[in-house]
Amino acid sequence: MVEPMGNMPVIKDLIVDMDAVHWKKVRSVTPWLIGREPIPEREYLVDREAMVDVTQSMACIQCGACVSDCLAMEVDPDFTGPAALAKSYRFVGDPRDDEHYERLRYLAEDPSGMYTCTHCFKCVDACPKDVNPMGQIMRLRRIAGTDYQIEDRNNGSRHEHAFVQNIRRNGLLHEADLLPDSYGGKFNPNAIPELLASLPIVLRGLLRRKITPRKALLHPHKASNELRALIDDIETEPTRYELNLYLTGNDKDNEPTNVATEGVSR
Amino acid sequence: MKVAYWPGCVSRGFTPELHGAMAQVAPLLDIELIELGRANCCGAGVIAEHNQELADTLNARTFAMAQQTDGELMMNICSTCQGAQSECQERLDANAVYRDRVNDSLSASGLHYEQGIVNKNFLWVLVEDIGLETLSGMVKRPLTNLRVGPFYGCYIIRPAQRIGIDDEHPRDTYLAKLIEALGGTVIDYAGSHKCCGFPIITMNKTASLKQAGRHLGDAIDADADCLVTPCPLCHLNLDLQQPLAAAVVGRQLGMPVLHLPQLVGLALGLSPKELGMGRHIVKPKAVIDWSQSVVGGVAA
Repeated sequence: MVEPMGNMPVIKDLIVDMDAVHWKKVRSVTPWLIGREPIPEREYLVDREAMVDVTQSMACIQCGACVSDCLAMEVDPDFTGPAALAKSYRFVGDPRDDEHYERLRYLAEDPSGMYTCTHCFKCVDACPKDVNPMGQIMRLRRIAGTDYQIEDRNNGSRHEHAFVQNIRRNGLLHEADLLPDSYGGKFNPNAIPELLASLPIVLRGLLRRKITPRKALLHPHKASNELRALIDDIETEPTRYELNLYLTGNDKDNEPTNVATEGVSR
Repeated sequence: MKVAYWPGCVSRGFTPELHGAMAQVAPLLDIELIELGRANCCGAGVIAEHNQELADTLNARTFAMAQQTDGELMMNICSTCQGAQSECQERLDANAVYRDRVNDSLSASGLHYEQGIVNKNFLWVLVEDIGLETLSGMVKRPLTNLRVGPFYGCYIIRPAQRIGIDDEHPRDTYLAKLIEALGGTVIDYAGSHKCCGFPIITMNKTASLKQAGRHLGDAIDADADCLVTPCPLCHLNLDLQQPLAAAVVGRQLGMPVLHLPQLVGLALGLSPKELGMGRHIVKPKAVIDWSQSVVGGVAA
């Protein structure tokens, strides 16, 4: 079936107004380098790896396929979207740029910014140039929440930290704690309206024995000391380690990594 | 067959009916479940967005535990676990130096991950290992006239390459093929391969519930009796949050959502009660009525 691109107004037949959506969003993320001070007389000296890393987002040809397929934008047209966020990473990942923090803060605080991405992978499959927009969005979140510790009003970084702490305590996710903790804790003023809104559902869940008081209030699972030590060891490493397959590729002598179609090897 | 079984967190948390249904269905399919009781949360993509190495190590820990069993493969019952674990496995299997680094961390726990574990969702096991023809032969109560809409969950169908979708493994069609094999009618509707919205429920609640509400509304418009999903996190947004989703999209919904093992169990002759259908927020009345009408029909 041939149809016009999604998430953009149709001008006529198959022609859509990319300016009204795609380009407008790209312009909103300050899509140019803001040189780090002091600006050198000649060139900046930077790590080769850092520049190869940003070439992945630089490979974008602005075709708008990811914007067209974006499922979050279907329900929130204000969402910054995959193309513009990948463009943001192009500068946040660039060591020559002077405004990493400001860029991240802006994207984190926007109610339809980087925390509106739902992890649906649509943009990853839509992209004809392997830009992996969703992967770039996850990097923006990692750098904002973990490296810069930006606390945003959308609960983005709080949710991440609450999740990790939840697993550190329980080994398995204890859902009853995650919701209030993502809003800053049970007694946080921001959490109270959310908890009240959920009350009818909680009551119905209790009636149907979906949720039991024992499960909701007590913590039937506890993380073992071994698991906690493992988490603490990695969390307290002086630098966060990240394998970037775009830089390293797969080991040449490895079998193909098609996850679930190969035989078991032990 | 014997499998190292990873039930995930939510199946033992807010969707206990899923864990119970799988326990009922497995013996009927001759699947022996070796439950990985000490394994940990997959991170659902959230831990990876906080610290990638932590997510990879936690999942390597689970894989290593699975490799200590004599299961033929590792099986999960959660699309999100499948996707999050496949992503970690992709990195672990791609790079020996990285794998050594992760195994170094695991050594204190006495664990070691060997490259190349096979980790499959129950849906894939049904289609690829048991086979739909064999499964059809086991059906005791064909889902005749039951109109079922598939809801896959993003993590089990995208990205296509990592998830292993190709001509031989059209995994993005398995749910529809399974419904047919069980004798049901597949309902084609707009939301079957879309996102339920759950991952952003605490960040952008309106957008999240609008996604769930729209898909449920589309299924109603397509005349579905129920949806079926292999993802308990999708179930949380589609069932648990359905009353709130209805308010956001401004229409009555009341669409039952079944877990995959519940649908299979129904066709294998188990009762809705045995499959925990009384524990849903939206009571699967249409499905319960249908099962009673079939029993009534047989008795008559």
